[in-house]
Amino acid sequence: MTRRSRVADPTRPCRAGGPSRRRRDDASAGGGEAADRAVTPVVSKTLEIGLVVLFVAGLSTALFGGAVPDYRDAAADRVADRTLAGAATEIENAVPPRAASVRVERRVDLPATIRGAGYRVVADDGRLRLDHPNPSVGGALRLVVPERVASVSGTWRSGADTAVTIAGGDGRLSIRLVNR
Amino acid sequence: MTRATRRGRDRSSDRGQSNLAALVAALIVLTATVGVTLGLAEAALAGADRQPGERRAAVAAAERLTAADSPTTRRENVLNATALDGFTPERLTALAPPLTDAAFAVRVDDRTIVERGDPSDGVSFRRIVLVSSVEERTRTVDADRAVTLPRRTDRVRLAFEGADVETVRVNGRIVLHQPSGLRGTETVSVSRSETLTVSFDATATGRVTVTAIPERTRKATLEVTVDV
Repeated sequence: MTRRSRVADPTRPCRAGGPSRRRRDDASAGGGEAADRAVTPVVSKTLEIGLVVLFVAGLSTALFGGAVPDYRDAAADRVADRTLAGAATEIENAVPPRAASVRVERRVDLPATIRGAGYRVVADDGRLRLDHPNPSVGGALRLVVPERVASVSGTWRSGADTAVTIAGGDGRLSIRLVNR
Repeated sequence: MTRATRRGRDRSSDRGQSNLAALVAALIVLTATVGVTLGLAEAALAGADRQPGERRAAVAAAERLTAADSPTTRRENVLNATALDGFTPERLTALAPPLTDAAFAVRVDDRTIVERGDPSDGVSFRRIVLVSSVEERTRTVDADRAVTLPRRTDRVRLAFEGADVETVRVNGRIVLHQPSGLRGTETVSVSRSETLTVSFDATATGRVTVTAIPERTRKATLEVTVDV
């Protein structure tokens, strides 16, 4: 009587204690002790494993699909900004005082890679630009040089021995970025 | 087969479900930890931003303002007070192109020289400079005696109206000589690094107007603030 009423109640099987209790009743009725012992731990462990796998998968996706690349891009952009500002300062400081004829060569250290990739520093039209294969990394700024500098040109490749050369007479200085 | 073993199994299956609850709780704690870690990483990244672009623009602008060939200086690191008074933001951006699209302010000892926009959130760069101002000191002296200039100067202007002078000496060295007599106004370049005594020839008569242009310098702090 009680068994029938339990089975008939549709809300019962959904509750945590429902199935096992029903199974135990079945087992006591049918005498299948072995089946009773096997199923519950398997279901429980399967649930746990499934939950952990889902969690790990979800967390990995969230981290490596969104947060980690974002942070790497942000950090790389900061490094690129600093590299560019440092390179511009080096170039500006290399300009010598007024003289009839000058020739200056100065080594400039750049990071070999940013975000694991090589990059270029390009000077043209009074500007310094950092070109990186990753579109979210890079930048440009204007150089501050005296009026006696006539031109700034050249390209630095990261990883090479980079230097800035300045040559020319008074009023016609030309600055070149060279790789050695 | 007894009631006791059944109750034991019953309890073990209950424990299985409570394992699940503990697992879920642990995962929630783990998620929260990851969230907090990401927040810390975000804060660290934000705290490490030193705004290199703005800093460089401020340093470069200060460098150009104090360079020897800048329109605002007399010599390297010596600002010309008169040139500073007439300075405009347009001339500063021509001097330092990175400031073109930026808000900036240049102050000398808290007196604002040029300002555009509101750069209060920007990066400031300070350096110590000299501010030089000149003023003309004119005195009229008798030509038959020497005069010592009270302050050092790099040039002296002499007016000979109403005087009969053939030779002018500065610290004993002849700087002007005209056997038929000096006329009009003459300007003499002199050393800035010694105190000067101006004397005339022994037969000079009348009164000579001596104008010295002494330079007065004071120490000041040049502050350039840039907010790109």
